Amino acid sequence: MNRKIKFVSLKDNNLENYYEKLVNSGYASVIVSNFLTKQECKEIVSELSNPSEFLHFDGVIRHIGPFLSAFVAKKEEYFNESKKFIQESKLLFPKSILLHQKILAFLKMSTSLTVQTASELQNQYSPFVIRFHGLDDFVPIHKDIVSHSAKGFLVSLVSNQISCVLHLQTAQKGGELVIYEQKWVPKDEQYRKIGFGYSEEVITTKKSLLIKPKTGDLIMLNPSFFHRILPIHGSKSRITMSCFAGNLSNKLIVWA
Amino acid sequence: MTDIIWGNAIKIISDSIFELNVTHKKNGNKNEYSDREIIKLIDVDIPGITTIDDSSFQKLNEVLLNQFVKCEVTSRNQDNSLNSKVSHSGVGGY
Repeated sequence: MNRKIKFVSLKDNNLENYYEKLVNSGYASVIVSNFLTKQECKEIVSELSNPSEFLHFDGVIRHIGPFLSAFVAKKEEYFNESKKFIQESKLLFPKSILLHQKILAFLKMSTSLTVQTASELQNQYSPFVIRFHGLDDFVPIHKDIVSHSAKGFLVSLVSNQISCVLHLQTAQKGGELVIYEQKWVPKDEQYRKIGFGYSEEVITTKKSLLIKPKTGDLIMLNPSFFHRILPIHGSKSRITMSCFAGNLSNKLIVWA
Repeated sequence: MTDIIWGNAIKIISDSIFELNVTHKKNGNKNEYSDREIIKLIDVDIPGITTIDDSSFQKLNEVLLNQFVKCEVTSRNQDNSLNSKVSHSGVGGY
């Protein structure tokens, strides 16, 4: 694989431009090791394990918080759910809110752009989504390109989209991230699966990277490259906090 | 039960007609479908267009071209096009 993984630390003096390097395909992934300590992760997982109306099972995986790609044709509903989530998560998930702020602060260090959570007219986008991948769960080959999938939303106008995924709990086995050295192109839609993802035939490259995340890692990638999550084995769920970021009018806006 | 086909929109023909590259067909469809079909919108629910009144040639080029969509077929016209309700397919972001 020509692109490499760049490991950085919060203690590094010069974090600037990692966003630009990621989107210019200088790196396949930027990983901030120990973004959170194991203890901090444990406390957040405990907070998220409390029953709440925001814990949803969509038929495939459990998640907390609305995410845009589930509402691409339901704009009003998305913003209503986001508003409710933003208001109530301050009380229900205060540690998670602080963690999200920490991610935003890190993004600010990684780029010369102004960083802010996305909004559209008076509506706020969901700030993050928590996902619980359990036994046998996996994520098929896919790409995340909001300019393709969420037309009609302001965020569909972003360029240089990245994914930020913080690993709060890793699976006992499995759950690795595979990044292919192949960017999505429109003709790849012929390989779409019903529902979500692409068939194996879409991948024509032999080059890929396997990333095995550790608890507390913040993993950033350029999601226009095909990627997947391998099946989870064992009783421990893979739990992540995720958001996207992209350049809109020289601001880095963040949403889920 | 309505017949359903899925595929990617490969060409916009007019403000309500496009060409579909058919990649999936529902098991149990009553009728046969080719690998390429001409679809006529009778109802629509995709990002960027939520009602048929919103549809235009330019809009379809912006929001439908290259998208993977689900077509619920109601009937076949004499010109062989398929009257369909077209919606987006798939929840992403795992």
